[in-house]
Amino acid sequence: MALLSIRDLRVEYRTSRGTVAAIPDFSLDIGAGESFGLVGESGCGKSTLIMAIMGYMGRNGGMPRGQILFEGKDLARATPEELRAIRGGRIAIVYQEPATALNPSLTIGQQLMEVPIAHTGASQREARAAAARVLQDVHLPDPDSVMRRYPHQLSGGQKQRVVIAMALLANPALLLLDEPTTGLDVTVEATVLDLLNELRQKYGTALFYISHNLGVIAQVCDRIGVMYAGRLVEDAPAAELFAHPRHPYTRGLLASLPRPGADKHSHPLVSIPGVVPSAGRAPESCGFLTRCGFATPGVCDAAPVAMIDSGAGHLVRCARWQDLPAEQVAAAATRGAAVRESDVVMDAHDISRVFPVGRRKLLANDRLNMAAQRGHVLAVVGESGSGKSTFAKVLAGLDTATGGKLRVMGADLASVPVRRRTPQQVAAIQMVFQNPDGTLNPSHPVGWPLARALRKFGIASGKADIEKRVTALLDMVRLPPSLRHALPRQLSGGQKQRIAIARAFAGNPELLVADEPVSALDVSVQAAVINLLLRIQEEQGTTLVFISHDLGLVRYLADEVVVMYLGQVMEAGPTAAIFEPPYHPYTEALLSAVPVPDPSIRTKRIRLQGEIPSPLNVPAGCRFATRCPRKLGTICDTTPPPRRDNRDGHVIHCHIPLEQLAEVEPVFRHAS
Amino acid sequence: MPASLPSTETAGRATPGILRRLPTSGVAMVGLGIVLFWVVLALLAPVLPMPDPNKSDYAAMSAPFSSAKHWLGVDSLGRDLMSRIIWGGRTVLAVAPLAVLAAYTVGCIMGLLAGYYRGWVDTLVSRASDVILSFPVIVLYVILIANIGPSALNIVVAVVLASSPGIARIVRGLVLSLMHQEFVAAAYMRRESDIFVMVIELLPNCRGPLITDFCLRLGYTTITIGTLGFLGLGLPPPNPDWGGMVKQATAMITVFPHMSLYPTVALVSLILGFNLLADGLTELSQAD
Amino acid sequence: MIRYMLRRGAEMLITLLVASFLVFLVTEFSPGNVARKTLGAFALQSQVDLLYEKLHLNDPLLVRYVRWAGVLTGLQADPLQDPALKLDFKDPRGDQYFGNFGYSTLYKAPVNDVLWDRLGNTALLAGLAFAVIVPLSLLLGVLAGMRAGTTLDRVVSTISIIMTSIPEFALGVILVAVFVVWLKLLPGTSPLKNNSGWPIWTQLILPVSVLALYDAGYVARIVRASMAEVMAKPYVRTAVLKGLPWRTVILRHALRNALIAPFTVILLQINWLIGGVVVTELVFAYPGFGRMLLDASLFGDVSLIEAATLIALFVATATQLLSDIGYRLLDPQARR
Repeated sequence: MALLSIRDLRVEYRTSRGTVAAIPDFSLDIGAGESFGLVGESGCGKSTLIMAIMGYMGRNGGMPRGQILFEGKDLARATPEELRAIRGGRIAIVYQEPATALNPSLTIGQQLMEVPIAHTGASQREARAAAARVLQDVHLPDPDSVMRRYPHQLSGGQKQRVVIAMALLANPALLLLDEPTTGLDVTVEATVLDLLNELRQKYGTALFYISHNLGVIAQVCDRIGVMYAGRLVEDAPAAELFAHPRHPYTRGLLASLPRPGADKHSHPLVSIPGVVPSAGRAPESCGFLTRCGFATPGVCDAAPVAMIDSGAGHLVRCARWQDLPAEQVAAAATRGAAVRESDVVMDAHDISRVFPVGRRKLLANDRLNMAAQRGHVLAVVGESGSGKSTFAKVLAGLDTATGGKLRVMGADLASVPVRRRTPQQVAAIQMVFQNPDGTLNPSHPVGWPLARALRKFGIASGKADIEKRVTALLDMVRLPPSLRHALPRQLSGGQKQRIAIARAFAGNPELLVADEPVSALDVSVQAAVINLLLRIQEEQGTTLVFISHDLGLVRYLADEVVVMYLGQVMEAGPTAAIFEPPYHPYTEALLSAVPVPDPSIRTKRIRLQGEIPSPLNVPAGCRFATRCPRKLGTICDTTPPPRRDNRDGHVIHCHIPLEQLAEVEPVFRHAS
Repeated sequence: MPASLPSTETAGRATPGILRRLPTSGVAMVGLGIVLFWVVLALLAPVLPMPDPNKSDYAAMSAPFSSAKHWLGVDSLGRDLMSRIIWGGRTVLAVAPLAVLAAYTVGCIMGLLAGYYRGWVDTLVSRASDVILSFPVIVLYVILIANIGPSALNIVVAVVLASSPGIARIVRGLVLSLMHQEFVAAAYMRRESDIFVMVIELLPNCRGPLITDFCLRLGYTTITIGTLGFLGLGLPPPNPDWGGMVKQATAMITVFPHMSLYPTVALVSLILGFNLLADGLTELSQAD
Repeated sequence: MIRYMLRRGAEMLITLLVASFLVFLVTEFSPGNVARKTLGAFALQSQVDLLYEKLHLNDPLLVRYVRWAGVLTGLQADPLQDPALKLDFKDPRGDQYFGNFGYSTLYKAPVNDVLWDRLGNTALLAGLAFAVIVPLSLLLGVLAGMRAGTTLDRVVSTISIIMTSIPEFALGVILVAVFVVWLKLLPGTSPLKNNSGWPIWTQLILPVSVLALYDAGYVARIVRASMAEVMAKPYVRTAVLKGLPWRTVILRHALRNALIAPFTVILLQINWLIGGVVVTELVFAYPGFGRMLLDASLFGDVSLIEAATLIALFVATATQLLSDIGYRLLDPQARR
């Protein structure tokens, strides 16, 4: 018998526009000790489902139909007292944002201790001991000191460990995980996922893991379900799902992710057209109907499609699953090979950005060197605190360097803010920002910044001319001309980023700085925006500086890569060279932490210990020395590492000789 | 609150549409109704068939209560109460919005400059605001009006002095948070001027919270004007002024309570109208 | 923390200094000259001219301000007490001492004789009002905000909004009409004297109610908004989904965070009450600080206005300082 059995569940919300079925009909079984992952993009109803299981619906929510059987009890019809005993006791949750999930005015100890006190009637002393024990289990050093601290005194990764500890305190039978690593750096994410795997063995807890990230799910789960528009559309063992995805939506999700080893020249990303319908707006027969390339009238839109067993425990909700081609038809590789010119568009030499903080100095950028070739994509990767965004701002002129030279178009722009740049220089260096919700002024229609840019850059003047050019820009980013009168809030995240791209290209830039332009978008939308950006970049021969933390994406689109850590360049070179030995030890750890959405690929396990040092107090020698798994000895702590030149402009800053670095085993390996 | 609202593609701060969604808020509509009632009466005052508000009807003074000629009765000088209340409303509805608008002009400029430039401009504006705001409001009004003399213009001046620091503080806070938004950086990437960024990019995005605050301040300024009238610092007689009418009549409250109660009810209803409107707007801005 | 308090204390002094100068500027700059106000309407022009000269009233404003500050701090003798002026202004404390606020021309007595009794009466009135406001508004606000959208919430919110829409003088008129004129239960004036036929405590009920009702509505709305906001926070959800009893969720997790923001607001009500008493004291003929300030302003009694506003400002800035320090103690994130 299943531990958790959801049967024909319907979840509704009353809104000002009437009752909306966020989850029209949902069934699922999870066994004791099982690890089940539920994947889907935002708006698919994952979080709603988790909160329904916990009976936490808000005043306007309800479950008019169906059952949630947990250990034989129907949670959908449980009394408040019954729910209270189960919440935090038999079922616990780990939340997406640990920073907001913890009470800011209570100490960690107080927040942990109340769990055993409420559920097992433990005394203060027993509760304290239990809290200390579980903090040890989540590998937080010095539990006693952690218990005395307030949440804001811990780092993001530490807070998430506390939340996990809090969930495990009452030894629950089921642990619900709501995107627990979203927002964490990739190396921190890797250690949290390791921890979950370890604790699952130790406590025997069943996991119900929801995420939009297939790679993360693949690391933790035995069985994976795919959710779309409030329904489960596919349910299969993890390896089976990745090897033989059956539902067109699952296939679409996988195709929109860069495959390990593939790049933009060999395997272009394939996006899913359209967007996730808002709750209750999806067709009744098949929710995916309107976005599906295989939809057939009369078959797909007739009656609601049932879950079909395709064998080997692989369930799929598609009327045409047997008719679909065995392999996703790979789009023809249309892109030409990269232009190989040696025309340097941007050359940064010893760029530093130092912020004075009281009497101390914050080294955001410390003597950065990099160059971008005309028409190439230069990716700058690093985790938060690496200084990559500061560098992007210096490039764009939104900040100025405190040292070094930045040669663009024959001028040194290192300390020239955008205000003092010539109109030509400003038009030539443009930027696309990270946050689609902040990039457009909510008070003006989306065509307005485009028209404004055209006028300010002297590209067009006169009403008719500007109108024509705005239409052309919208067409370039594949948006209908009518959209220019819409307000930003009427656009989806992907559409907003398209407008931002159009705006950046209004002045025909030589150099485009893109700071994490797709990190806030859903995967299927991400692929579309990336394809668009690369197409325009290639057509116009623009040089792209792409700031990102996503190594999978960087491998896919970059020609050259710069790896940054704590304000300095650790490694730089052609993309292929970065992803093969010799690696800088930091690059190696970074690659190892990437959650690969493919169980057939084995990843070497390297985990970084400790926290990233404060940029106010950087290590004297190698910046990475305090966390380096391959640290040689005191030389790393005291002496800055030498620059070591490999072939093709591949540079590594490390005390370890290249020959030794070349001998390490590659991070990725096929399991076959 | 992910648990209570299903996420949709259009989620986000939708404050700009707030005035369009006004009819969906019952509270706001009641408030608007009350305010409009007084606005219509004030506009129609010259054409309504009522006695002159400043003309005494000596015949009615012996029995100053409600009659066919004087629906709400007359005051101690035999002047028609209804007429005086409606004409008094005209004064309040002219002075209060004017004063608040003037305060907004000054406050927005101060707040924009402080939030945008920060540094010494911010220090100057913030310190000056602190000084003004540390006065108990009524004390500030009393000292000011008692010294510069009671008149409509001086009331506007006093309201500007007393309210603009508060408005500046709100605008400054909004600007500080908006400055982190990427559309401001995007404006710099188009080489827009400081004035353009402040007025065209930043100010329109402050309007959601400011509309609510505007209504609250209208209510509060109406209270202030009434209170000043009651303290004898309102408009000089014989102009009808609600606060002043109450002041005149309080001495006779044991004999003729209606003389003070009617203008009181009028004043309270108008303030309530502004406050309900503000409350409804707040609710609407939090609904999304 | 000590450094912070020193810095804030210095800021407070500067604010006081600037504000008192502003008051000086407004009162002394006003139409009608100071000498005339001091001597009254029936004084001879020659007397006025003599005083004008004696007080050096044609000196620049700033010089006169420094001189006034000199008298206040006891560095200088009060020129009005100079027997040569024949004004018969006498202060038993002498003409030169620290805290010399000068001579009230309205009450024909040293300011220090006029001020403190009235301030005491006002402190009684405001203190009682504060003692009603705080528990009442906290109780209503927390109950309403705890379950936003319920009938209780709507009732409390509606009552609060109505209370904040009634100016004090209007509330005074309404309460007098009901309890004095109609029910004849309470006295309509509060001279704080026993010979009026009403015990003193009955004389306090209406003034305290007027002050408290308006303000409690306002504070309750703030508390309600803060509580409702906190109840929607993820950490409250965490507390509920930990399986904690509702009581614990409210008392331990919600309440403390919900009271951080209103704490400042509540302390600032002391500042507000100082202004609020002006109207209330006028309505009920209460012998307090507020009515004295009003009378002094209308009469143009410069010394008394200066003294009164300085005290009002001192109370206001001190409560501001207190609320800032309290805020730091309440909110661990603001602590350093």
